[in-house]
Amino acid sequence: MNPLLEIQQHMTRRHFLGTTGIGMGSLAMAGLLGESTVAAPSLTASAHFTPRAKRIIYIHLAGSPPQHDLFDPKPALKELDGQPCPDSIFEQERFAFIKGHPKILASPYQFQQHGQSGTELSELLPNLSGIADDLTVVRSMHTDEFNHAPAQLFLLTGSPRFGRPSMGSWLTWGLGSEAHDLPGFVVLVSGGKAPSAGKSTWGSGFLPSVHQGVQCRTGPDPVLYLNDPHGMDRSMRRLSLDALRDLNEVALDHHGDPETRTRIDQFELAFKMQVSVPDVMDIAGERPGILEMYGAEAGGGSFANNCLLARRLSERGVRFVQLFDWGWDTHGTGTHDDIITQLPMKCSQVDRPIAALIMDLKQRGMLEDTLVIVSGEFGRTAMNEERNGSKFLGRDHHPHCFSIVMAGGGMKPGLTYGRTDDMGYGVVENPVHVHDLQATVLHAMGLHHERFTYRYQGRDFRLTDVHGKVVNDLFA
Amino acid sequence: MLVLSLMALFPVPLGAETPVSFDREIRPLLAARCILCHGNADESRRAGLRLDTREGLYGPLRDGGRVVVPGASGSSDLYRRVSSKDPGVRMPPADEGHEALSSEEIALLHRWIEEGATWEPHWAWVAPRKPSVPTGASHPIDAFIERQLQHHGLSAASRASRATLLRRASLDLIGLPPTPEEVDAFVQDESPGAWDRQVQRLLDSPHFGERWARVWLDHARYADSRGYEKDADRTIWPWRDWVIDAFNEDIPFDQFTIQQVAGDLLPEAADDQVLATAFHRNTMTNDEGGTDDEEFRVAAIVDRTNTTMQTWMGLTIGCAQCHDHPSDPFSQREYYGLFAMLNQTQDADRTDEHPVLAVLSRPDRVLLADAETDRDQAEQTLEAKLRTLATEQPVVMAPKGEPRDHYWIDDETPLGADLNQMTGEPWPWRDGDDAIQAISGSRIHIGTATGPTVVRQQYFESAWLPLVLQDGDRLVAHAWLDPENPPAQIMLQFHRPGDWEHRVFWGEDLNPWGHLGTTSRHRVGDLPPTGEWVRLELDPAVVGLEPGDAIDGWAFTQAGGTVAWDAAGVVRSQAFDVGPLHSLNSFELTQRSLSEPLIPADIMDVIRTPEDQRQPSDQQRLDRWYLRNVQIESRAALADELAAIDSVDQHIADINARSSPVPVMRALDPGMTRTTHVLNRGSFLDPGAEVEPHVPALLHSLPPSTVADRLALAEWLVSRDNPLTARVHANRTWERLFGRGLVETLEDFGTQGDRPTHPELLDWLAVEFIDRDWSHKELCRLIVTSEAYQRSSVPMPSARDIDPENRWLSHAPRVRLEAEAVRDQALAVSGLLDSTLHGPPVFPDQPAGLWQVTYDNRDWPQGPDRERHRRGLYTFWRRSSPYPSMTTFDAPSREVCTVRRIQTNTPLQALVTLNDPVYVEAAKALADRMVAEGGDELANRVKRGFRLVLGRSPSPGELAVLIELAHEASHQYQEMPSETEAMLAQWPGVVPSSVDPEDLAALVVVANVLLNLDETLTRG
Repeated sequence: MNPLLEIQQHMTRRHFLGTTGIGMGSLAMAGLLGESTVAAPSLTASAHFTPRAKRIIYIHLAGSPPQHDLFDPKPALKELDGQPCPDSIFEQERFAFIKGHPKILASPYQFQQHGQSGTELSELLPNLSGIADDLTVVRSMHTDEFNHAPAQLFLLTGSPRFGRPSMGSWLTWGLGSEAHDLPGFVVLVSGGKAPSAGKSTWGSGFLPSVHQGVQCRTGPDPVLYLNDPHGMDRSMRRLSLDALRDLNEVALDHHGDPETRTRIDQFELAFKMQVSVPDVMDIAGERPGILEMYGAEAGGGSFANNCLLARRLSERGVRFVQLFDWGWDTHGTGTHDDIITQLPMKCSQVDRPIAALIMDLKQRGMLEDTLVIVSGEFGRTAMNEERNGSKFLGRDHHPHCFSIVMAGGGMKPGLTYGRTDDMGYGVVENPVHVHDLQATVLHAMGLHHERFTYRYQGRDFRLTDVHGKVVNDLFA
Repeated sequence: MLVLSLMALFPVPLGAETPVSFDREIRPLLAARCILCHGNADESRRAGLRLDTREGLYGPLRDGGRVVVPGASGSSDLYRRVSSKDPGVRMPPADEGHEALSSEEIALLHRWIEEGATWEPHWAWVAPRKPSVPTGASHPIDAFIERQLQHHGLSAASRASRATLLRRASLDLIGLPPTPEEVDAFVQDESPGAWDRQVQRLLDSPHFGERWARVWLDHARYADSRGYEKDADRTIWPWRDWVIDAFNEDIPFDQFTIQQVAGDLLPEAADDQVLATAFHRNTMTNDEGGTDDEEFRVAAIVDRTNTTMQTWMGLTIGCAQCHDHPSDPFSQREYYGLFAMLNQTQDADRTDEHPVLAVLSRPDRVLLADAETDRDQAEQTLEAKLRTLATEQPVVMAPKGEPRDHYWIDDETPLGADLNQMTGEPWPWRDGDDAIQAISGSRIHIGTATGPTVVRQQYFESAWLPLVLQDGDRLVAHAWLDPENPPAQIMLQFHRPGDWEHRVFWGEDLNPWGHLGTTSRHRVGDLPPTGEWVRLELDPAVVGLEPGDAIDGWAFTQAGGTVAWDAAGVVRSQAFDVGPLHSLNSFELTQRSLSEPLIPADIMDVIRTPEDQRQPSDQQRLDRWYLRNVQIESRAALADELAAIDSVDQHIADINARSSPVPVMRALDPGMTRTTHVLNRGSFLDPGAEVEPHVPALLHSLPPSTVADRLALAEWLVSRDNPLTARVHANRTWERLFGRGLVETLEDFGTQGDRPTHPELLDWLAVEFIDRDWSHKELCRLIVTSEAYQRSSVPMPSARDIDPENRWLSHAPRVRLEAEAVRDQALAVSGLLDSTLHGPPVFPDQPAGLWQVTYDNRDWPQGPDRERHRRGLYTFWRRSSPYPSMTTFDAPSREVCTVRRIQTNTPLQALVTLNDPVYVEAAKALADRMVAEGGDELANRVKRGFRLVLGRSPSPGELAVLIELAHEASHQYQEMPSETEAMLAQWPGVVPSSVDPEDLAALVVVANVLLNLDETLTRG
């Protein structure tokens, strides 16, 4: 089909109601619209170049885990443990909570090299250590923000302020969804609390709202208002939808508004989702060995369950699965947020499920085109926070370096990328800024981050704002 | 000349005869293809070339060539470069992936240059002038539209049916559907002016203000929470009510603007004008630990700058925060010029939201007005009685003789005493009783400390009639120590004007004041016995007081325990004059003798004036003050009247205590003002050159010798010279009534935005709006009384081919209802709607567990007493977790200004209207109405439901589908009694005897379908 004609028809439908003008990015001219656009305004473009990954599972450890204790060993700190940190560092720094002159905190945990690659990981992550050769560890991440909400927004929307589309929205807008009876962007939350920046971390910003993440919850109502009301069973719903469709068809014949056609289709999709969503959320049918592998339990709402759900959603063509897990903000004000009690507990909750997810994707042949990312929103300090003289060990927020882990999606397995200084304070080799990560993720999905734009309020917006460069070294 | 006049008539190109218009055809081409590299922004400009200015277009190139030579395309580099076949020469550059211009575009440039390359400014930078209205239509709007229809070979659709039209206008103007009775009244009104009367009715409706406030709240990014991580609650709903009232009262839009941007700076600003400034206190504040307040204060000013320009002028200048605007002629320096005008307010991202204005709720405002009337009446009654009283009474002398107690504090604190200044607590009077009888009079005062050694006291100073010590006086007071809860210490303290350093105590030394062993902290001895009155008596010298000293204050202090006090004053043997309490003459003498009199200054001024030089009005003021406040006899006579005033004063104080502290704008005090700098790359940590407040050079300037403050900015926004504000508001209003703006990009009137489809109509509307005194209601009336508005939404066959987007308005648009209206309509047609106006935000049902908020365990209130059926406008708006069904229907999060909601059509919306309990409850209520109002016949019940929802009657075909559904559903419910039970039992109300349960359940299914019809969700 002639792409320009297609655009015109697309525009026509939108304009019929005098509704909206979606600025078409430059991609729109490159040939587009292979798939159904029932779900309404999306770019649904072919990629700029051959993608390495078709889908993403983004695991965000909200609050930010301490890289010194998990991914980035700093043996030099052993000598300095408990001593005041160097003045040069202390004087030019703004801290979120540290007051006075902070003291060095060496990690109480052992690191070892693992696998052929010799990737060094903490003893707190035995299962991930077991698949070290499948992992790509980046130790040289850095960000501009050091408060949770702005840093989460910066990482996931490209701006520390509210109002920009999230990564998942950008990708479903740009690439559409391969799931026919599920949303293209699904969010799963564990740990008892939503991330600090709230729903904006999966918001669609100025992109059409159909591209915002849909939060699926465990329990009987996994998508809001999914269930028919009491007293209306499935056959009654079908009956009523048939009548609704008949009446809407009468209206469509009368005025010929294409939005009515779309609405008829959306009611049918909703009807399908009433089955498909509970179906995908119901893990009881998984083989027992699989549940065991993840540590998931049917009916539960744990992080392990969410990892398994992520695989199930990905299998069904969901473009972007976003997991949030709360509880990583390890300041050390008590056992609930220190690195001696809380951190090992959190690690034990996520280590096995993440490793299981990666192994499961691999055994199903999905790992090569599924990009798994595990990150916090910033790093943590090399110093003990000691808030109000706390005797518990913990680390304050730190923007200058942090570590993330990736797997699959064309990443180079077994690679440890970037280097921080001996204190784990700043990056000394191959820095990867948050915008660089975003550019790299888009690249993996076949999108050029500078050409992937959306025109809004007179400006072409990008996920990477006006920054970012693809880190080609990360790709296999 | 003929050609030129044609141009004025037809704002669209008519063919080869019409000269190319630079503004209409060439500038958009340059803007789309060239400006990003050859535009306003210094940093990104290539080859020093700019095509966005006249100078750039006609000036020389670096290499000596010319960009555009009028009449000579061959000498014009612009043409040469875009038409070149050489990839190394061609613009835009192929090696950067840019496509060449199309042959049509190149031909257009060629023709423009050959025709003389006339330059025109961007249309939106030139203030609108009212064009003459074309002839041939009775309504000016139709005249402009008709000309375009003719030009495009379109014919107008017929008029909409009256039922459709009234539903359309009701939803557009008040956001609620009409009742079937309102439709009937309109349909049956055959007299001339029927439509005008309906329009008037809707404009007069109190719901008009709610509907247009809804639009304004998106611009103002109104929310009931502060945003960012903590997203704590914010009390700013009184401002939302102000907006509702402003639309209902039709405050002229220029005043509406000035009050919101700078109401606090208006001369003698009324509370409501200050409240209006809360518009810009809807910016987010960040209460997260460790944040830099200045960073987020700056973020708020940036937001205000962007929101102001976006809301009033349709300009997107946010990019100039970091660098010169790439396409519109605004520099970064000019951005900070506007920023500077907004940068002088007191608010600073503080947790306490300072500064705030205490605002009363509507009901309390009425109560307060009534109370103030009561107070006036009580004053008048008092005044009337005062006229009957005399200022002079026989003076009583206390004679010299045996030492006698003369109490200064007994059942009352001394006149004029300023009580408990630090705490504001009332004096702890209590009637004496059998347990503790008063020593003198009837009352005692009693204090209980909150802990064993916690210090508490009751104290006063500034008594009008001080206790002046005489020779031989001893100070006396009575104390009663609770045996169950004894204090560790009791203390008496005395105040002379200026110092409290006169203390005496019994018991432990637990107070830090003064120095032990001196007159500032003298210990008498151990605590007296408990459970009985003890008399405390001392020589004033012990506390450093001597004859002639005027004691104007006294403190009763304790550490721990419970202590009662009574009867405090002096033991005196000297004769003395108690005349001041009886005779004004005596009072005046006393006051004149005091070195530091404490009565109100204006009264003291009269007393100091010799009697024969006083104005009669001053004398009268003194007389009345004395009678009312001092003289024992008159105060006894006035006891009832004074008590009445006290009572109403207490009532007023109670009302005021219920006020809400609403964040507002207040200017910094002179001398505290901030210096504004350009912030490099927009970072508050990287200030650059200093900037004076100023407006962009391209636009109209401020009046000469105006101080460039916020008020100047507000007045500049609504100046008649402003090319944008009136156009932007006319366009915004048009968009709400026609589904799409005359300028489709409501948010961008700059060169990157869309051009108006009907530029002359837009200008005519804008100027007419100003000429009609900026009346929003008149603007609405003007638009909805046009024929174009009243057309059917069914397109003519020709329109489907020629103008499928309906740009030329041959028919009315179909527009999906906005989020709030979807919900409001369901509540209204089912009869559930609570149409109360105003008030604090409400918490209708939402699924549990959505309000997962970090650092806070608050949850969405669930309970029976909530106002669940108020209009959506009043639903609590939490930025981090907006009401889910609203966001599903495209409501923004209100974190930043949104001038246009992008509409979507999604399966999640279907799930909301099918299954959200609010809509299921509405379906049940609608089914009840169908039974109650539709009679016994199923067909009539269904017809009634259909009319309630859509205003019109169903066609036979539609009716048949619904009746079939009702039959089939009823049949199924007969087979499944438990489902019937489940459907009906979840809502209050009993099944009426006139209907079988399964039939009622089936009607709920029918009602659910009615509420989900495309036509229901759409205003057609």
